[in-house]
Amino acid sequence: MTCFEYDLQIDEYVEGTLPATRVAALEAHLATCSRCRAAAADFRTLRSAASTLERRNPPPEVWTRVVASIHESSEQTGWFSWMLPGLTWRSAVAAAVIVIMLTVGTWFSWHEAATAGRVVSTAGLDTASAESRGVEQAMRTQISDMEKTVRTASAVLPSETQAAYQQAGAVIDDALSRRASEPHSEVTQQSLLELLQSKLRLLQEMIALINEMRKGNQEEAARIVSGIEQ
Amino acid sequence: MNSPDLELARRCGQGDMAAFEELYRTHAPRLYTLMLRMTGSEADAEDLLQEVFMQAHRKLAGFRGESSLGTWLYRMAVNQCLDFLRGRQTRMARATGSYDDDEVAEPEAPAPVIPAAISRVDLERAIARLPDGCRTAFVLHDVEGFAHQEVAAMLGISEGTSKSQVHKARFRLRSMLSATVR
Repeated sequence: MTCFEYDLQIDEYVEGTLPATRVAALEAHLATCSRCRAAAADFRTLRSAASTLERRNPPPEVWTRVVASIHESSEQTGWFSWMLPGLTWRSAVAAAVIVIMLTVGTWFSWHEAATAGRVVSTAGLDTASAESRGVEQAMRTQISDMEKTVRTASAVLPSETQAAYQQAGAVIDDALSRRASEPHSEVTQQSLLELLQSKLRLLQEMIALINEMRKGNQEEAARIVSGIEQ
Repeated sequence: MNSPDLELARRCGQGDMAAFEELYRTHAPRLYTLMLRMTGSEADAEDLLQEVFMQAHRKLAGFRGESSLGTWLYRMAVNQCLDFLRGRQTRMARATGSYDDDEVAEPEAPAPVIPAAISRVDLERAIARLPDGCRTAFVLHDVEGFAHQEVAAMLGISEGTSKSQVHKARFRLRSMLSATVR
């Protein structure tokens, strides 16, 4: 047999799965062939080292992203109903604002981690970029209209709700302006759209609240914020 | 059937976020490490981990305990990685990553070329540089400890292909690691 024919047997030999009937012949070959003996020794070292490689913890931002994604996808089915059971609508507004601020706050660190050391290919992205920019523009227009509505009607809201809204809006706006100063890439564009989505959600919640407050329906206002479906 | 697993799955299925976080903290490091080694990219591993836990969140209410939660999540993670790698191969037309790629040039060293006290950092880097096909088989077999039969079933390949992929991976690693110590 040639060295080439012994190669796969060396793997099985190192793994301890080579049938006993072949072990003697292989060992006789290894005794006389330095090339195969060296390969067997290296395979053993590799196998041993590979089995002791350590686990690595994912960056904390991944958990934040999981929570944010679940929140986003479950919003329509009353996610808040189990996240915020029993809260008054005012505290629920505050909690919702905190969730938005946490999401935006952690966006920076994940974004930096995602872009640092990663080479993003821009080849073939032109069409996708054009579509993405179209979506971005539509979202910005919608946000602008909704901001006008909230600005003219927010007096109906309690002062702490207005302050929480202003604070969350400022955090998102700050993140958006930082994004605008960065080089364009698929990753940063996606992050930008996520930020705009957060802003839209915030505005939608505020407008729904304003409508119910105008009607004097505090129970409905609480239901909107907490997502509790009665 | 593992009743703590079923209880945790039941709580997650009812929307208990603390239970879901417990599930994440327990299993994310193993899954992330697997994904990192299978894809060779931190950014891709993070995205895939997020996707697996999103998927788990959607499906946990239907978990019946036929396997442990760890195995259930692990299988989901492997499948997610394989889908990703297939997509990447299609996108990049990387022939070097297929399961039937050509033989690599093997070092004809008359003496061992890998130091006995091999650096884990060097080994991790070398694994990340392997072509997708043989890296996947190597990670599942030599790092994760699955038998060739199990690797073959997971990857949808024959046992012989699993063996030859692991063999190729070892020779490529040997070649890369010998270069690092010269």
